[in-house]
Amino acid sequence: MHFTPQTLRQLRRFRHLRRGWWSFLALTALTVLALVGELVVNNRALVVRYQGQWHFPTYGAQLTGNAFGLGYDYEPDYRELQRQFRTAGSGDFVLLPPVPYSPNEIDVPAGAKPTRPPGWESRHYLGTDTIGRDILARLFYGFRVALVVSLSFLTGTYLLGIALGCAMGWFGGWFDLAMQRIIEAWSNLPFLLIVMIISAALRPTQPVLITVFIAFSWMAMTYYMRTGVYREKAREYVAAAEVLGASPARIIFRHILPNLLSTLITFVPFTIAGAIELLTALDFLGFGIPPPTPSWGELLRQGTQNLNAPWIVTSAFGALVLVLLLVSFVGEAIREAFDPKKFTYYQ
Amino acid sequence: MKLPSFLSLGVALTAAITAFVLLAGCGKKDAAAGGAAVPSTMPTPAKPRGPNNRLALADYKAHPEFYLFKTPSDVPNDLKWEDGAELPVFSDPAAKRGGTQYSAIESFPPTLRTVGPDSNSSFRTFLLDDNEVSLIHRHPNASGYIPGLATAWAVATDKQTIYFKLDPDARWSDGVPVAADDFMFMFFFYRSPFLQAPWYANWYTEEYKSITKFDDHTIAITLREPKPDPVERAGLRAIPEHFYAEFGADFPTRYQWRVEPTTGPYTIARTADVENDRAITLTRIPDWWANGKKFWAHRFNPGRYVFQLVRDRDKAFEMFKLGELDTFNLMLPPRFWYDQMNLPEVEKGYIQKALFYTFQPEAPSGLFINSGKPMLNNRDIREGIAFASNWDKVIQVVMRGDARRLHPWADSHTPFEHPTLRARPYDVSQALAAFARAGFTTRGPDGILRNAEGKRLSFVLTFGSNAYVDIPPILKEEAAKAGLELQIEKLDATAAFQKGLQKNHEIMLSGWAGGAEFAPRFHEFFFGEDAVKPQTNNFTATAIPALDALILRYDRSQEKDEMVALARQMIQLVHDDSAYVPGFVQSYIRWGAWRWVKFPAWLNVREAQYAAQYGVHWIDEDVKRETLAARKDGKSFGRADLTDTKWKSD
Repeated sequence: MHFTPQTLRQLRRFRHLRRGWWSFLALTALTVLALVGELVVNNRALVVRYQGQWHFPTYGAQLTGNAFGLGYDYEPDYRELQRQFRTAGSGDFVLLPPVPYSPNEIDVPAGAKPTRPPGWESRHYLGTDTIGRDILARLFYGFRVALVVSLSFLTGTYLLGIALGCAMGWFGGWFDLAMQRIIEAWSNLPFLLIVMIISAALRPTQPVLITVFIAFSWMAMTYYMRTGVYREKAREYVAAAEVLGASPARIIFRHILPNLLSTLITFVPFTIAGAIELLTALDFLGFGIPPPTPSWGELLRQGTQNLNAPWIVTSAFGALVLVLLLVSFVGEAIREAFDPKKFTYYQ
Repeated sequence: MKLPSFLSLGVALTAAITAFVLLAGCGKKDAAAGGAAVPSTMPTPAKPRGPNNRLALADYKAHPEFYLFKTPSDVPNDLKWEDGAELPVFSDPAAKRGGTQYSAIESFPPTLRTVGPDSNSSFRTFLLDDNEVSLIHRHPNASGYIPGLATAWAVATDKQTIYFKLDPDARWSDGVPVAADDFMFMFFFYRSPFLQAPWYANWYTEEYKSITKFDDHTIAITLREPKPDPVERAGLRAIPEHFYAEFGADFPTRYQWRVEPTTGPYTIARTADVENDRAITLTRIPDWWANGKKFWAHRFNPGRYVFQLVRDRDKAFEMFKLGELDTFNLMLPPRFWYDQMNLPEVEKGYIQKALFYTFQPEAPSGLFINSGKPMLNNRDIREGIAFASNWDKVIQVVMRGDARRLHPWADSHTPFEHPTLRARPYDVSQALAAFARAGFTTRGPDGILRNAEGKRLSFVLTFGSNAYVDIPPILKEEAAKAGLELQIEKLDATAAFQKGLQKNHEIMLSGWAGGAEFAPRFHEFFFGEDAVKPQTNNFTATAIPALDALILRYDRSQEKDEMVALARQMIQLVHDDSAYVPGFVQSYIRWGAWRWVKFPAWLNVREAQYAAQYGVHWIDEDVKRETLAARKDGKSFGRADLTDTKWKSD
C-alpha cells in the first residue's frame, strides 16, 4: 500500500499521541480477542483427551455426551466432564477456556439462586444475571455483537453518504436541490419511534436492525461530502483532470475523495461510538436484537431493575464506559493527527 | 375481571387480551355481596331518581321484544327463591373501620370511565371490578352465590330466565336508590354505539334475549340459550340512569373525567382527589347502603385509599420499606419475596410477610402450538415439543421453585378437571423418540435434528408480554438438548396477540385470562371451525372432528354430571393432540404489609387474586402509632410471618 508523505506524517503523529495510540492498541486487542472468542469464553472445552483419543470441540460439529461415555445424546457439560476425569484420575483430561461458560447457558445449581455474585470458585468472574447466565460471557459476546453492528453500520452509512454526497456536490443543480429536500424530509422521520415500531411488529434480526439503522443515518455524511466536493470542484487540479477527459467517477473517487479523507476519518470513531450507544439504548428499551442474543443494553436494563445484585449493573456500565472511552480517545487522537492546521501555513 | 395466573404477577395485559377478559368477566363478577338477613341501618333518605332517559325510552319502544314491561302478578308462583343465607360469612367482625391505606399504582388511568375507549386500565379494578356490587356474587370461599343488589333470585325451569328481587336499601353513592330502571338502562347503555365499545354491544345482544321489569324492585333477565350456570350469567351490574342524562354520541369525551356513582363502598369523593399523574384518592361512602348486610358487613374497612403513581416497582418497594406504602405485592419477581424482604423491619415484626394459598380455576397458559403450520401439523412433532419443554427448569430459575406445573386443561376447575392426567414432563429421550417417529433422526453439526430431506427441526417461539422475557431463553437452551431449535421472537404485546389471532405464529407463549366461572371453556379454544378463521382464540388451530362433536354436546348440555364427563373426555383429547403445552401456575398470593394492616385469622379468601381484593383487612391506627413509636426506639415485636395453607392443593 502506498502512502503519501503527508499521510505517513499524520500516522506518525497519531502514534505519538500516546493516550490515543494505547487506546487504539487496546481496542485492536479486544477486537482480535472477540474474533477468536470461542477460544477464550466458551462452555466447549479446548481440548479433551478421552481414552487416548484427542478431541477439539471448540469449532466444528457438536459432540454428544455419548462420545465421552456420559450416556446422553446432547452437548456434554465439559465442566462436569472435567470434574469426573479429575476424580477418576485415569489420565483423561479436559482443558477448558479461561471463562468456561457460553453466553446463553443457564447455570443454576440445585438450590442456588439464579443471580449469583462474582466468585472464583464458581468461575463466574463477574457473577451471573437474573436467570443464571455468566455476565462476563454475555459482556464479551455482547461486545462482539456491538462491534459487528457498528462496523456494518459504519460501512453502510459511509458508502451511501459518500456516494450521494459526492454526487450532490459534483452534479449540483436540480439533483442537489431535490436530494436536499429528500434528505430534509427523511431526517424529520422520528428514527427511534420507527425502530420501535419495526422491532415490535417483526423479529428484528441483526441484518434487519442494521439496515434500519443505516436507512435512517446516512444523511449526515452527505452534507459534509457535498460541501467538500463543492469546495474541491473549484480547484485547478479538478479542472485539469476534466480537461484531460477524466470521467466524473474518476475525478470524484481518484482526485477529490483523497483530499476529503481527513474529514472522513475523524468521524469514524465517533460514528462507531454512536452506533454502540444506539444499539445499547434500543436493547435497554427492549427494542433491539431479540433475546437471547447477548447485549449490553439488556444487561444494563437487568442491572437497573435489580439493584440488589449490583454486580450486573456495574459490569455492564463499566464495560460500556471503558469501550466508549477507548473509542473516544482514539477519535480525539485521530482528529488531532489529521488536523490540517498542523501542516498548512496560511500566508 | 381476573388476570391470568401467570400474569397475575402484576403483568401488563394487552388491550386485545382484555377484550377476552371482559368476555370472561362479564356477568360473573366475583366478589361477595350482601343479603337481607342482618337488619340494615337504613341509609340517608333517598334522593329522587329523576325522569327516564329519552334515548333509552325510545330504544325500549323500538325493541319491545327485548325490553318487556309486566306486572308483579306475572311473576310465576312456583319459583324456588334462593338468597344464599346458608353460606358462611368470610369477613371478620373484629375489623375496625377507618384509617387511610396508602398504595401505589404503576400507571395513571387515562380516563375515569369504566367503559369505552381506554377504560380498561388497571385502575378500573378499584373503581369497578372489585368495587361495584352486582345483582349477585360468587361466594369466594364456597360454591354458591351471595346477594348483592338482589336479595333473592330464582331460576325458571327453562334455565334461561332468572328472576331477581332487588334490595330496596340499595343506593348509588349519590344517594339515589337503585331500581329496576337502572337494569333496563344498563342494557340500553351497553348496547349503544355511543360507547364505542363494540364488544359490549355484541355481548349484551348475543348473550341475552330480554329483560323484564315487573315493578321497581323485581326484574327478570332471559338468556338467549339455556345455560348450566344461568345465575352467574345473569348476575349483572346496574348503570345509574340518572347520571347519564347527557348520554349521547360524545359519551367518551363528555364522561372522560366524570365519576360515575357506584353501588360499591368506595368512590372518588371530590374532584381534588384526582391529582393528574400523581395520585387518586378513593373515599369510603360513610353510610354505605350495604354496611349491615350479612356478606358485606366488616368488609372494605379502610376509610380512604390513596393510590400514588409510582412507575418504578423498586422505588415503590423503597417507599414500602419506609412505611410510606402500607402493603406491597410480593408475587413477582421472586427476588422481592426472597432477597429484598430480608429486612430488619421484618425481623422486628414491623413488616409481616404473608403467604396465602388460593384455590380457583387456573387459566390456561404455556405454549400454544399452531397445528395448522407445516411440520407442526404432525402430532409426533408436537408431542416431541411438549417433551422438550423444560418447565421445571423455568420454575426453578424464574420462580425459584415457587410454582407448579399446570395440568393439561381446566386445572383446579372442580369438578371438571381431569383427576389423574398430568402434563408431559421434560424428557429428552421421549422427545427424541417422538421426533424420530416424525422422521427427524440425525443431528446436524449444531446439534439440531434433521430429517431425510435435510430440513432442520426449527420453529419460531413468539411472545409479547414483558413478564415472560426470562422464559424463552431457558426453553430454548433446554430444547436444544432434544435437538429442537426455538427461535425467539419478542413482539409488542398487542402485535403478538394479533399474530396469534391471525394464526400466523408457529409456537406462542401466552397466558389467557380466566377466573372463577361455572365451567371451563373448550369451544373458544378448540372448535374446529375456528381453526382457520382469523380473530378466534383457537391459537392451536385445533380441528378434531371427535372433539368438535363433544364440544357441541358440552355446549348444549344442561346437566352438570354430563358436562363433567364430557369435559374429562375433551381434556384427554386435548392432551393427546399435544398442541397446548401447559406452563406453570402460582396458586397462592403473597404480600408484605406493615403490622397495622390487620387481616382475619383466616387471612383471606379462597378465590383472592391480591390481598385487598375482597376487602377483609383493616387498618388499626392504634397499632400504627405503637409500631411507629417502636421503630423510633428500635423495639422489636419479634418476627411474625403469616402463612395459610388450608386451600393448598398438590
